[in-house]
Amino acid sequence: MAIAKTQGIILKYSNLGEADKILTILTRNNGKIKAIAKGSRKPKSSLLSASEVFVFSEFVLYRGTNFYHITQATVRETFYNLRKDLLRLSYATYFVELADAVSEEGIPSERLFMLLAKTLYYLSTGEIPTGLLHLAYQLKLMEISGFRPNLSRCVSCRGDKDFYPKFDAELGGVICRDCSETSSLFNPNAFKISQGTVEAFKFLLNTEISRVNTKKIDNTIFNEVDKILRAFIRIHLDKRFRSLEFLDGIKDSEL
Amino acid sequence: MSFYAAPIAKLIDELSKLPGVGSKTAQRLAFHILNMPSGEVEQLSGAIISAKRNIKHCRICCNITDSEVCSICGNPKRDEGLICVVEDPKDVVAMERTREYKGMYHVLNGAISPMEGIGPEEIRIKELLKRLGQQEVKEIILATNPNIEGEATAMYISRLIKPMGIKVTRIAHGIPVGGDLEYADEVTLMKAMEGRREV
Repeated sequence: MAIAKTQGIILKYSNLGEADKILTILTRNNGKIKAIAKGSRKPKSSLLSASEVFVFSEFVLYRGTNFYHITQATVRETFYNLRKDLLRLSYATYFVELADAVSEEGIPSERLFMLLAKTLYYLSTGEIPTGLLHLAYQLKLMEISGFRPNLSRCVSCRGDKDFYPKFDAELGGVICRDCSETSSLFNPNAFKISQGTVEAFKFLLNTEISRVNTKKIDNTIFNEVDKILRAFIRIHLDKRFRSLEFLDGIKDSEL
Repeated sequence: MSFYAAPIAKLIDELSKLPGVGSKTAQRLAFHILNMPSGEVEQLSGAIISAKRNIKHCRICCNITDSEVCSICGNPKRDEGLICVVEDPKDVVAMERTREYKGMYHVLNGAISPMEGIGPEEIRIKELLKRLGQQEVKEIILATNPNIEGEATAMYISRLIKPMGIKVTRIAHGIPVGGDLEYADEVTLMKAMEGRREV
């Protein structure tokens, strides 16, 4: 019976039987795992708060044949503020759904874990504007998953140019004027990109998440980054994110 | 391929659609039903059909009922100025068991959940707001579950109602009666400290 001790963030859960839960946990050392929290739905269970989504805990687990089993959990951070605001809660839900989509069971990725932990922290404290955090998180997550956008060379002809008018979301990078005029004229995945947006992409990629609010990004650029990132994620992860649709709905009707 | 005669295979199949019932349990239940007297079987099937046909939502509080207005909303002795907002009809029963609460209820029939894609439009918040416009209400008690979905729903409703000048309260969170401090989790303890009161 292998016993493991690791930090983890709950990504999602499903109920099992009368009082148990199956948790999907993104752990620091063991990658994404599925673990059974026995009795965690009983009001007097010591695993009660550690088995809620977003909660960051230290777990003691042992590995069964199909699942891990949680024997102890000590809550480190609950990000309680996320529950107080529907918009922030929706962002947090999208963030964990993305992390769930890109992580593989049993393959450790400490970078992904740290990115999610920090992002949830800044989201709950409100130190960094949510919109900015949203862009930075998505971009960094894609980079960790092996989809870093190419911003320095044309992804079509590999040419090194001074100016790139378009971004091809499918090829995953900028394209030069010549290529954009020929091949990508009717390409639905090619988006207009301004120099400012290229700079914003580089800034968000190369800056630690705690410092992404040190540079002002104006609205036009912000919207361009958002539009390109959306297409980029849609094409490369090829998954429908229910929480993103919910988030868009909430943003429109925000009080 | 089924080894049973068609009618019993069909019964097993239907029973196994129920939550928590696997094929083995469904088989056992099906054979039990076969061995029951015909009268009882008819009563059982009659009860299922009648419950499904006659149950509707109360016009006022959205709780499930068999008449236009449920027994709580129709009771003149209850305090109309007090509305306790709960997620589920089962929560009304839980509250009623306390025999302490004499106000009215409002059943949301769900909670806002970004994970499941359930938005504010899909639960009965609109009906609650309509009610507030029609009757004199002194206090709204938010008794949604103390989990993420319930908290988010409570926050959302309080933000909608507070500007109307109505007092909005949230049920307390804390140590269960007969519980043990040592085994209480951190969040519950924190909430218990926040909500402490003078004795």
